[in-house]
Amino acid sequence: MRSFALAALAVLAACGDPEPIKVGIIVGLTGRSADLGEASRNAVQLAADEVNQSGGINGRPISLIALDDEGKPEAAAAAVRRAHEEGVVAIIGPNLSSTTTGMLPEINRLEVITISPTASSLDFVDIDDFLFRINWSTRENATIYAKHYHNMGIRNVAAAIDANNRAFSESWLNEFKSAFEALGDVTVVSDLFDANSDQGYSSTARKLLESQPDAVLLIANSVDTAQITQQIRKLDKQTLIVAAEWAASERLLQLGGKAIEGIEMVQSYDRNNQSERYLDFKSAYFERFKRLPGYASVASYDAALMLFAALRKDDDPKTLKKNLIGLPVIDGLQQPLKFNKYGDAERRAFFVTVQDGSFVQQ
Amino acid sequence: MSLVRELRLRTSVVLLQFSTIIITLAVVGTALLTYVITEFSRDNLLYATRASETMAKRVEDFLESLTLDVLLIGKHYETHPTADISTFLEAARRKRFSAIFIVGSDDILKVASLSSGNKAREAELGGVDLSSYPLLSDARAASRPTWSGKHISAITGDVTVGLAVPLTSGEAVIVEFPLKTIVEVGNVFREKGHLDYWVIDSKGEVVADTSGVRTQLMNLSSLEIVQAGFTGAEQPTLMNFRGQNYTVSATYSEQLGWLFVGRVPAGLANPDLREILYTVLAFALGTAVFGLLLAPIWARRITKPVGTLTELASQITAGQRPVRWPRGAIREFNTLIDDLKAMSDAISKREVELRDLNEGLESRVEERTRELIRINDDLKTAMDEIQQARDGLIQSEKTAALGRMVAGISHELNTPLGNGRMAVSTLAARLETFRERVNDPVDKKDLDKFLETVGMSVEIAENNLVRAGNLVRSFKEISADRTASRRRKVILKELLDEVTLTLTPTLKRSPVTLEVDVPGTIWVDSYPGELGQVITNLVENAIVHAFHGRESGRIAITAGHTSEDFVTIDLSDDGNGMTPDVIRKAFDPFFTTALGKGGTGLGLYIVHRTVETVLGGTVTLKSKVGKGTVFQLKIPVQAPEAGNTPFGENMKVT
Repeated sequence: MRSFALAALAVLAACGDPEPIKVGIIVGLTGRSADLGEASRNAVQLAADEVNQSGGINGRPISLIALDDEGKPEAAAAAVRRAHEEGVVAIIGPNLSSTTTGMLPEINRLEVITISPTASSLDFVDIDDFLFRINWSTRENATIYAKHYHNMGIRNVAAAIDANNRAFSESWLNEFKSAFEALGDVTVVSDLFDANSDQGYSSTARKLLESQPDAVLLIANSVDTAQITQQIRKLDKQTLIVAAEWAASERLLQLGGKAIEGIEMVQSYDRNNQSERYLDFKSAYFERFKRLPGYASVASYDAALMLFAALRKDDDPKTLKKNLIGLPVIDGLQQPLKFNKYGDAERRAFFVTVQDGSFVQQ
Repeated sequence: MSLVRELRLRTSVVLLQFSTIIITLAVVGTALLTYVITEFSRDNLLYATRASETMAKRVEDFLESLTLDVLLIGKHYETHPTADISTFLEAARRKRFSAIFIVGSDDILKVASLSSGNKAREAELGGVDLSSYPLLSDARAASRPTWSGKHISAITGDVTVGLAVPLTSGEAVIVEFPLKTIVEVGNVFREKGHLDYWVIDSKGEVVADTSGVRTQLMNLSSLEIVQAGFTGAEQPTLMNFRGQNYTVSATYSEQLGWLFVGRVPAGLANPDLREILYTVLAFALGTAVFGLLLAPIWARRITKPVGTLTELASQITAGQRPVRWPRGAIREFNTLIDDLKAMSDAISKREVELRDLNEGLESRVEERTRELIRINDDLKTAMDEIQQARDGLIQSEKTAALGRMVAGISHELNTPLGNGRMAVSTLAARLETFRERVNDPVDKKDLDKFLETVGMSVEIAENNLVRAGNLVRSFKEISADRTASRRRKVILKELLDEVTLTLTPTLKRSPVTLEVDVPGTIWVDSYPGELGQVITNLVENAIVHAFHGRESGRIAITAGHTSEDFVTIDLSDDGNGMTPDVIRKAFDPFFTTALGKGGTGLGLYIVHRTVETVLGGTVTLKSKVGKGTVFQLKIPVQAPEAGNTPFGENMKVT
């Protein structure tokens, strides 16, 4: 009789599915960088769905828990705590260096492996902690910009830097400055702006143009880049505007109107890539989200690939760090992926120009 | 291999009752639950459907009212282009929109009002190019008010819902408000706590989620219900979302391009259903416990009459007749008791009948035995009579045989005696002649002739007398042997010669020759009389039967040793032989092929009996029609002492 009752209970409570592996996505889903957040979230969702459709990680499905860091360091830290409470084995995100800075103490305290697809501040480089990064650092990126534009004959640069993501923007500017100055005969002026303040964008635009620079450098997100560009173009139609790679999302095109024609920047992926794998990814992404993937999507998908590869070895979070570092070279969407001993990786760089409302690779 | 375990009736009744209760509960409970769950699911589905439809309608109504407001704003702007637009817009925006701006026909922003109230910002927005702004281009393409879904504001950078209303002048009004406004609209009519819904825009992004869980952060376009909702395909009624089952229904708003998905926890996740389930389980458990308590009482009621029956059956088996036949409350058991009683009675009756039958059978057997004894006695008497008759017949045959021998002897003696008498007559005649001539001169020649004749006559007479004397002695010897069985040692050849002599007269009257070819070295210590009679009988038998219709025949007697202790005597003829039928019956008493011709049918029978009983040997017969017959005697050199009785006296019919 007892066994009957137990059997009945077992039937009632039937839940034979293997326990899912919880993975957190902490990105900005509101705020000015929500475009990057959405792009990252979508790519990870796509990667997780692909894994789940092919039987999960050693039979266990991936369950994603998306949390909004609102583009703010404090919100990001709170999101890490919540993700930890939910029992995630790892976190993918965040996108911004500022939110990464906010999260870093928490992820190291809670020992939650976190793979940021895009954060690139030099602050995170060569540190043995729980943060892994897919992107190159500001040093490499800024150096690429410096060399490129120095070669093009640009000598005087006026830079606008986002006060809300100083971890990135200041790091970026510093690296650019040192690389650019090293090339000789240059001046770099900069202006810190805060989109959340009452100051607006027009004053920033005016300040940037004051020094009559050869090029204006915008180290800002896509929304701010679009807005500042709109304000600059109201005052000046000629000056070359260069944006840091942060702004290089599709959202820039939607918000910039005709003002952003001719603006130049680096994208960390080859948007013209014709490999079957990337084209499949691109069409699946579009099919699913009715949008095209951006650089954050490509980097986030690669981050998910790395994480899942390591989890396949062992889904125990305790061994995850060792397994991530120990991963062999993985084929990413467009490039080989490999973490160094500090959990840092490399990205490629492609210069693009906005022409007729589209990014055109140089 | 499983052995059926013996259970006590009471145990098995208890088990039976309890398992009946459990099975009934399981079946009825399952059926009930299935019914309830089905009903519940249907109700939930109805509820979810109604809710999603209501929600769609309410949000449509809400957004339509906003659209009308915006159209009115646009109308007002168009009709009063010179008025203080900024103040007007601020008034229009307040408390409803986070931003409102008017875009010229060249997609350049003309004037804006922001909830931040930042005048500088509002001012610098003038001249911003919105030609790539998807909301605006969508509205221009559709030429009607268009909702954005979840989107990032180009102006504020916030995630909002936007509405673009193209005006007849080619200008457009754009308003934006936070997502939570939609949630608030929905919350107004959330009737039950378990109902939640999503408002999903055309890209699968969650515009609103009443549950407050973080699903609004996900893109839900991959959910089956979402896909079905958008495509109009048949919707699944159940959905698994993050490990939980929901009853779902989606309503698509053509007007907004949005999907409204109502969801109610399904199965055990639903608190109402859980309550029902716990009630049913508690009822089932209570019933089971109560049943378990009652089962032994019932079992006792059932097992008591069975115990009585068992006791009664045991008594009957032991041969007793139970006195008490207690009846109970169960009809079948009472019937069984009645039947047992009837059975017991029937057994008693049958026992009496069997005893009577047994006794009758004994007397019948006795009667029959007596009858059989009487018949047996009659048979014995008859047998004795037959034996006597046979003895008489044998005696007659012996007498007849003796007669035939005497006739033979007479004939045999007649010749020498006749010869002797003739010689004596001749002598007497010669003597008479001589006496007459005594006075006559005696001629020497006559005297010599007379003497010669006398001498010859005397010699003839003497020879014949000697021969007659020999004959008589021989007969005497044979007859003496035959009348009294005397055992002695005899040379077989001599015995056969004597027998041949006595048969001479018979042989002379027949065309048959008898040849005896027996070595003089063979002897037997036996009964020569009986042996002689056997040979005589066999020869006579051959003469009478073997050569019928033939002009000549030959009988041969040969003898030899088969071993040191046995002698065989073969008597063969080249006569007609016998048919197998005759061979088979040849030694039977009173069987003869010459009935009415003087055959008694006892000759060969006597041979057979004599050889076996007196001589202690065997006689066999081989014959074939046309090939002659061979009798072979095999007798011991030393005849047995026992059974040395005169022929015929101990003969029995066998």
